[in-house]
Amino acid sequence: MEARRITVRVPPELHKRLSSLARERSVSLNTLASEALEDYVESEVAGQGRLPLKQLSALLAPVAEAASLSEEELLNQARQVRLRIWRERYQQAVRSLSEQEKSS
Amino acid sequence: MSQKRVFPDTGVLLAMVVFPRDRAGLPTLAGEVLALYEAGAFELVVGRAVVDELDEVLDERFPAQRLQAASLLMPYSDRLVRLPTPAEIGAVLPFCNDPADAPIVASAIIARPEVVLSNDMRTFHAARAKALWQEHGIAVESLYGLLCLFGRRERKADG
Repeated sequence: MEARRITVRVPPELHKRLSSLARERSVSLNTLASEALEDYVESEVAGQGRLPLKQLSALLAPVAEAASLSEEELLNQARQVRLRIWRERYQQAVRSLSEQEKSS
Repeated sequence: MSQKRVFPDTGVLLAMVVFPRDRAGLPTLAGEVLALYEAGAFELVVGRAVVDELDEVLDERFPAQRLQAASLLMPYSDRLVRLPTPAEIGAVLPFCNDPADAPIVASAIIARPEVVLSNDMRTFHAARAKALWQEHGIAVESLYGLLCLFGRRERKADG
């Protein structure tokens, strides 16, 4: 397969780290960069259409830890939210439907 | 091979994203399930009713992060399982110990997953709820149970 050329400009520090890693692995800088790009493309394709839970976790978990929030506390809160949503959005509509069915 | 479709309850979804590790930094059961999902072991089918609850919890507990969280979920919004109708909720009420769970249970039925994932033993794993899941060909698993399903844990003798 004929290889195609792309030119990528990177910051000096990244270039230094890539070169060091390539030496460690005894591969050329070109091979290392090509493998890294391939891994990136594969992970992007595999991740398409999937919920960004890892990103959500990176956003929320440190906040919970800093606030010493416990799982039990959060789940209790979720329970309260469920009860409130039931009362505010669903209960009346379900009750009305049930009454209509009984009267017809 | 097609992936198993898993419908998560709000509680397990919250546990997965907020508590993937314990205070010692070790993966929790929810964290292990999150890692399985990230590795592509199964597909999550999420209900609009679940996201509505998630949004309210974020608003109360994580107000500074809520907008960013919402923007992360935005591209997924057209794939959410629609809200159940009052008739669909009424149909599952006899199977729920707590009526407030009925919209989520009805969403799970609409989603037609292979597995409903919930750690709520009182409603989702109760005998009458199990009858409903069975009627629809759906298995119900806890976080631990899902790890067993994927060979990461051993089933306990009592099931």
